[in-house]
Amino acid sequence: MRTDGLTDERLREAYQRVLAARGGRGRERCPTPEALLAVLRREGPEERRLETVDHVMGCAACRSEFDLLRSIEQAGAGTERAGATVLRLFQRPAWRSVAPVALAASVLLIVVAGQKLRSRETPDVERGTADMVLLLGPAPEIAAGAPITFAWGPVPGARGYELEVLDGQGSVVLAEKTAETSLTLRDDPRLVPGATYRWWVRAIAASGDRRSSVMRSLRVRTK
Amino acid sequence: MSSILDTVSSEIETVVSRFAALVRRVGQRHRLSDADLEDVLQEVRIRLWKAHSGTGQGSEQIGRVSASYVYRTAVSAAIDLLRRRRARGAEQTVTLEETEEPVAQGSDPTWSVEQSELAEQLTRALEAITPSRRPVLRMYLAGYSREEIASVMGWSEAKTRNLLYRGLADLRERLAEMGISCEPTA
Repeated sequence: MRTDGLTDERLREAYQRVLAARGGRGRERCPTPEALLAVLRREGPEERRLETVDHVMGCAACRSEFDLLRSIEQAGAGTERAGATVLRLFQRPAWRSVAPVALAASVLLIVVAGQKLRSRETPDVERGTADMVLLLGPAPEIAAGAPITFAWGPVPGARGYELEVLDGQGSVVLAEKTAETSLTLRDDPRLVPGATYRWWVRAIAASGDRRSSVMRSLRVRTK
Repeated sequence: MSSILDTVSSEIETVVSRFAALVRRVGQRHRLSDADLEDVLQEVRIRLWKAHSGTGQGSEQIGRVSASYVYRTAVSAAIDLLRRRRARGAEQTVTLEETEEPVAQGSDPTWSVEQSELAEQLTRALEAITPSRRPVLRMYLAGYSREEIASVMGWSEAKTRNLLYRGLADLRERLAEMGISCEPTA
């Protein structure tokens, strides 16, 4: 706003130094994640929101969290407005017993409309991006007791990879880190015959950036 | 069974990727940490999996899940993630000190010392500012534009400009009292 010796730009640079000097202090006095969300949604008294902002803008850790929530909120604002016509797919399907013919017709219409809309999107979104981790193996079904080799394609710049195997409830049953692009397990008791799992790999770059693979299923056959 | 699950996985990835693209587009303007977003997205994938398991519905229905649903799942996942991190006490977010350390102007040590002194005085001056004016001032100094401040606070552009103008005037006054010159440099 002013262009004299103490310009806004110079004040901003000095303020970044203030924040940097504070670094990652204890979080005891930080507002809760819900309070950060309340600011973004303009919920609650303005006075309280201002108090939260006063803290967040002087706290590097809170600021990172605020930026994350802010990005999700803003991206979601558009989808909320556009989301009026959507199916509630993950609710319990009590609707199945109500007017099945009319419902089937509606679903058919939505499917057709949805497929037309999806066909206009970029192919990259459908297939995943080039810098994602490409899973190579094992096959979807393996014999119990046999060695299992998880393998994936290298990601440029990755300094390591994390492999996670989840059970049917989404709980992690196996988590391993490696610098290689494959990992072999031999007769691992954590993978039970007859069970179906899902697994995925995350690449960690030297900068701390992470890229994940899609999830893939893995069934261990009974002996 | 496995190929059905892989199809479901692929559909989930499509839905999540679509939402991730939206968030990344917005996040570019907000210094969003990609690592943070990736953690949230992975949590969203797992939640969609669990939700799907609960209904036993086919993969094609995941493909039709609303962006609105994914958004609400992402907010909930992000809140839980932040809460868990704080509980662990392990600060994994990329802090501003890692991303925004001001670049020193060449190798001029005088400039660096001046900046450090200014930072110290600035801290004291900010503490002395009326609490009602300080948040907007901090937002501006943290890099928010007037329009962004107005948007976050739900204020008119005129109100934001007014508060900011007064706040900056207050700040310069305090700094001048501390001996920091506000006069144009030669």
